[in-house]
Amino acid sequence: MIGIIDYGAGNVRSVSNALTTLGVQHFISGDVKELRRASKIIFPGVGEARSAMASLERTGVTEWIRSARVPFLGICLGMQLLFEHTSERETTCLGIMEGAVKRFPVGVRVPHMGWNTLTLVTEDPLFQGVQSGEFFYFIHSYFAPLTAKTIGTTDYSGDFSSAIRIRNFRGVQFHPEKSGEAGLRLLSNFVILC
Amino acid sequence: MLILPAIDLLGGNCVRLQQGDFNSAKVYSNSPVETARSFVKQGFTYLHVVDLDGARDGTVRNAAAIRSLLGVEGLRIQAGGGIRNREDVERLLSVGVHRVVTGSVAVKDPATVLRWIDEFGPEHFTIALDLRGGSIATEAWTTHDRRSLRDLIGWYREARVISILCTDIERDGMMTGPNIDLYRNLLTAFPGIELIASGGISSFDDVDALQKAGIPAAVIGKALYEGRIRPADLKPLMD
Repeated sequence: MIGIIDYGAGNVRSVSNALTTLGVQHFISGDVKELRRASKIIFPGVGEARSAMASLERTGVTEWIRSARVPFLGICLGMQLLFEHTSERETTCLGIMEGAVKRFPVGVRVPHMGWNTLTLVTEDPLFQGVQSGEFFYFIHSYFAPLTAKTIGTTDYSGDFSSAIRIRNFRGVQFHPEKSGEAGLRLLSNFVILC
Repeated sequence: MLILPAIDLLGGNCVRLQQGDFNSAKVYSNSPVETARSFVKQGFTYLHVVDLDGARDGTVRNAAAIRSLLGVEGLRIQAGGGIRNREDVERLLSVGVHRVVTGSVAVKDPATVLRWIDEFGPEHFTIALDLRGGSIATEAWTTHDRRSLRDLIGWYREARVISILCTDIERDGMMTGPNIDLYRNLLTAFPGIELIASGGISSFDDVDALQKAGIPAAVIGKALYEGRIRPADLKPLMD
């Protein structure tokens, strides 16, 4: 069953609703003992990095995530926390992905909010049936760097990583649960194909 | 200091362009191999080869000529021009090119180039940036803001690429002297990169000034072909 990590800050509800729409069984928990039983993990995120990391540390979830071997999908903040560091309150993150998340520069309107296109860099089961150039819904003020593990990019005053993959860990900067058909397609790809 | 003579290949000839304009092509030799041999005799060990046909057509065109250059003993080569996909990179590296020079694709599609770097190794890449007034001058880049130059080099540094070739396109082939301040600023911002200066180097004094400013490498083209810089004079500057 899919486990959704609840750490007080995430938009757990909307992800859960999207899975329900797809008819996918899932549970929500912040308890490592329960999360261990999940066959796949979704790590949602709206909120602020430092308090999110603090809450995850406190409950031992960070340590468990680092050692997780099941398919894992980070969404928005949940993707950014996979990197080593974010300049959002200078927070040390999980360090699964190399690189640092930074704030959009001065002069660029933040948050980057609304629909924008995802350009596919490489094939991935997550993208089955998703066209390069498809629109997804974004809301964020910090962006992930381009790296060798970037599988999709989006241009907002320059390209940033909007989809990444390293081993069993994937992350998307946009909100598939708020991105209509294409978003549901991507979620169901994660559930079925990843 | 590493000094790389430039060989620009167009229709099998060794040519030089002015400011990238194909109509300004001037043929210096119809035997690139002979040209390469004479560079080796003069003490050079590393060539900067540009496949101009490839650059124009968007795919590697002079692979055979590049392979023949690699037959010259005592020579390493970095080569670019027209690199658009993974196969172009593989073709050049498999014939023995030491570093592939990725130019416009490295600016337009860094995520893809970062994947090649991951696959083939950072030591086999030179990132070539055309700069105008300190900003990236590639067409596709003009809509982007200035943070992007710093981010771009930063991403390649994180991927452990050290070789960055910067061409000041306002000075390329103009023999007006290099833009030393530009290179110095880049080295300050990115300590540890092997910055290769290119564009406008037209006299021994220019090379000397680059060396004194701590610029680790330079590409020299027209000034060598036209005899304005004597290779023998460069020897004390080269390591």
